[in-house]
Order: sequence, then C-alpha cells, then structure tokens
Amino acid sequence: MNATTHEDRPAVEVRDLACRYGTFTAVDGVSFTIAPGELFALLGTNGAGKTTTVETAVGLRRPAAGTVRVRGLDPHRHRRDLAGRVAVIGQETGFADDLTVTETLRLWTDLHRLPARDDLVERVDLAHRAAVRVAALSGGERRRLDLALALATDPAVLFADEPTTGLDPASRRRTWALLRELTRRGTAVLLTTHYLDEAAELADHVAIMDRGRVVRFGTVAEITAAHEARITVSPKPFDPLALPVLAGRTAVADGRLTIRTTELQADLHRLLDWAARGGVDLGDLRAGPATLDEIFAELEAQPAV
Amino acid sequence: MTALTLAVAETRLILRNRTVLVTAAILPIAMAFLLSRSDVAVFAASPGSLAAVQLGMLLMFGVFMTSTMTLAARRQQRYLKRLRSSPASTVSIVAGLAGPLVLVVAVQGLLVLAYTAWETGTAPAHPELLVLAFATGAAASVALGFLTASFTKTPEAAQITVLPGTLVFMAGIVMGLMRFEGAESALAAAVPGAGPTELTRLAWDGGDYTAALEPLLLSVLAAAAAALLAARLFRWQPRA
Repeated sequence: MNATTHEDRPAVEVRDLACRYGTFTAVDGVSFTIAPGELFALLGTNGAGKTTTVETAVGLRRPAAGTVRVRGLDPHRHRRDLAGRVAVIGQETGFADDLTVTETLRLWTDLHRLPARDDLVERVDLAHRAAVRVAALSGGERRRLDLALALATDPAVLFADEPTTGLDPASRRRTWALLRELTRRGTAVLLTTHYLDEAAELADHVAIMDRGRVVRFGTVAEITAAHEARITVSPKPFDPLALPVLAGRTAVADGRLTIRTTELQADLHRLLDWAARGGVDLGDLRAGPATLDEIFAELEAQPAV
Repeated sequence: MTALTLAVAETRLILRNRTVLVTAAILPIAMAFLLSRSDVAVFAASPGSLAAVQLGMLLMFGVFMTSTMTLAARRQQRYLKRLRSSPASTVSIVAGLAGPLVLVVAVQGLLVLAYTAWETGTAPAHPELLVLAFATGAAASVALGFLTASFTKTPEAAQITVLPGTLVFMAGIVMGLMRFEGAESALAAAVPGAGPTELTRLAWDGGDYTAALEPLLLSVLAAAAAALLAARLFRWQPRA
C-alpha cells in the first residue's frame, strides 16, 4: 500500500506497525506513507487504533513491531530533532489552565525560538478571547487554540487527531480551510476523524481502520467505486412487476425503490427510459456512488474475525 | 533559555493558583518563623540545628510537597505531554518546572536565616557549606517530588501520596540533628534529608571541614539515587 503521490522521500512512512497494550493488540500490521503536501485521513470507530497509530507516529509510544519514520527519522529516538518541524493536535489539548490564550501562544513560540505570532488568534477566531485564561475556554475554543499552536511552527508534518471534534459547523469549515492552506504550503497532514464528510472533503488518500487493521485504502473515489452505487426513486404510478431488467438489486420500502448496482450509468439509463416510455414520474430521483458512511456502516456490521 | 521561558510560565501558574501559592510561599515561611520563636533546648544550645530544621521545613513544604502537587496537576492537564512534544530538552523542562519553587525557597531561606541570625545573635561559620547544603537538599527535594508524582494521579491525591516522603524527610532531619558514632553515623546520615541537615548545622555552628565530607557525599548520593529512580518511574502523561 503506498500513498506517495509526488515526492521522492515520504514525510511519514509507517511499515507493518503493531502496537500492543499488554496482550491486547491495538494496531496490527498497519502500513502507509504520506508525501509532503498530502492530507492522509485515518478513519475508524472508537478503538479502531487510530489514536495509537498517531501517538506512535508522533513518537510518544514505541511500536511493538514494524517501523515508523517521520522525515526519515525514528520519532521516538529523535523526538527533539523533529519537534521543531512536527506539530500535533491531540484529542486532549494539553494546556496549562491558568495561562491566557496569548500567554499560551507566546510560550509555544518561545519554546520553538520563533517570533511572537499574535496574528494567529485572529486566524483561529480567538482574538476576542486573547486575554482569557484557558480554563475559561469552551471545548471548541481550546481546539482552535490547539490549531493556532500547530500553525505557529509552520510544521512540515502535522498530526491532527480528531481536530474538529466538538466544533460548530462554522469553526469546522474554518479549520478545514486552515488545513488546506497548510497542505498547499507543503505540510504533510495525518488526520484522524469520525467525520466522513471531512475525509471526503479534505483527504487525498483515506485508510479505514477496523479493530487495529487497515481494511480499506485509496482515494475516496477509489474506495467508493469498489462498492455498489445507489439509485433511489419514488415512482408514481408504481408497479414493481413492470420494472425494466436492471443489473442491480432492487428493494422497495414505503413506496420508495432502491437499486444497488455496479453499473450506475447503464441502470440509470434503463430506468429513465422505462419512466419516459411508461409516463412514470420518478419523484425524488437520487443517484450516486456509495458514500463513506455506507461503507463504514457495512464494515461495522461485519463480525470480528 | 528554554528553561527560563518555562520558569516564567511556571511562576505565573504558581502565582495564579491559591492552593499552590499557600503551600509554596506562605506555609513554609510561617512554619520556619514559628520555629524561631519555639522554646526548644537543642536550638538554644545549637543555633545551627534551628537553621537546619528551618531549611529542611522550607524544602519539604516549598519544593517537595509543592512540586508533587504541581507536577500531578500539569500531567493531568496534559501540559507535560505538550511540553514533551516541543523542542525543549528533558533537563530544560525539569529545570523550568522546579526552578521557580527552588528560587522561592531560596529567598524564603535567606529571610528566615537572616532572622535566625538576628534572633540568636550568631552567624554561619562556613557560609559555603550552607550553600552546598541548600543545593543538595533542593536537588533531593525536586527528585523526591518527581518520584512521588510518579505515583500521584491528581493534585488532590498528592495530600496522601506525599505522606511517606514527608515521614522520610522528617526522619532525615531528626537523624541529621542527632550525634552518632562510627557506622551508626554513616547509616543515620544516609537517610534522605539527614545529610543537608548535618551540613547546615556544621555550616552554622562551625567545626572541622573534614567533618562535612561524609554528610556532603551522602547528600549527593541521596539526591542522585532519588533522581535516578524518578527518571525511571516518572510518567509525562496520564496512564491510558
């Protein structure tokens, strides 16, 4: 499996990674690479192994097996060498509660020996909260401060572990714009998320994890193309026996017809032709490839091996 | 430079937290001044013993107990994990977190010992030994703080987890004040806290420099042992 798209040396390279907590295997044989400027999304349910994978890639954990390289270095052994070029947005934000927003940002830039970046509070929409202590911030505001800290260091690699969890829709979109800006500037981003629309919107490549393993990998288009597309219509008048011969499987519920097919264009053409000939109103016609939500639900429904 | 940046932030945090401020700044100095006013025979005979107990109390409250509490709080907030993901070295982080507490106790120590000198009409015979006693005592207190924080889940839990360390500390102070001969002397001085106490007493009351060698060596060894153990056991982030 290889997600490298346009660069000789990957920014992040994970090979056959395994992580264990005692006898429990949290991550089992995971491999992927991320090129500079690429956004790679790891999807999965709670406990799928996403956070463990990120924490190992950041260098906070040692792998039980396999290798992790960030900009060619072992992140556990070379934590300090990488710290200046790698940023992390974690699920827990990790601030001192009694420092203000501005003090937190200045502490971070000082630790990285960078000039003060007071402009960042504006960019993450926290200017009105600059003098407020972190303890008084909402969950969403803490996440935005976390993002500001990541932006401050202009990182070559950003590990973003569910960065938009708890954000309102406007803040989510603002975060997406900032992540896009980072990738445009060449930052490699490893994003974990529960939000499938987020992955579809942002990711160059997606890996879906289930019970510690990568079970799907590719672009969003590649992953969805491997699953049946769906056509839904509410025909009036509707006689199921009069339907044309279709490649896909049909199901009827509450007067609504659903066709799951691997031949989307051909079946759609047959259906439209049938409706035109018979004077059938197809009602609320919808047709498209499988969504990540559907693929996800399908995976979750599969029993553990 | 990084340690200084962290120390400035840590000082702000200490000043903004009332519980920490009381434990670090008010309680130790109040205890130390109360001791000056106490009517204990051994202190009347040996002003150095009074100075040693005062310094020991300051280090115990101001550095050991406070650092255990603040480290547990910073870890609970994932602040330590954040610092570990910065370019700051481990030494800088430790110095930045512990430095302000040691500095506060150093200032308190100067004030308290100046008062003791005035009250008893005496002065340290070997001030350089006093500096060594403070340095080794502070190092051991910081190490003991990190070590105790390894077993302390929350800042509230620190009220319980510091008890064993406090007992050791107090035993060390008592051992440091008692006079033993031969092997018993080395054994007593090996109790953490005893070395700096004996050094302070010698520094104040005077005596042969050679008598300071054993407590100095044992003070360094106790601090090093606590630091090594803390380095092995201390966790920078909460258990999963």
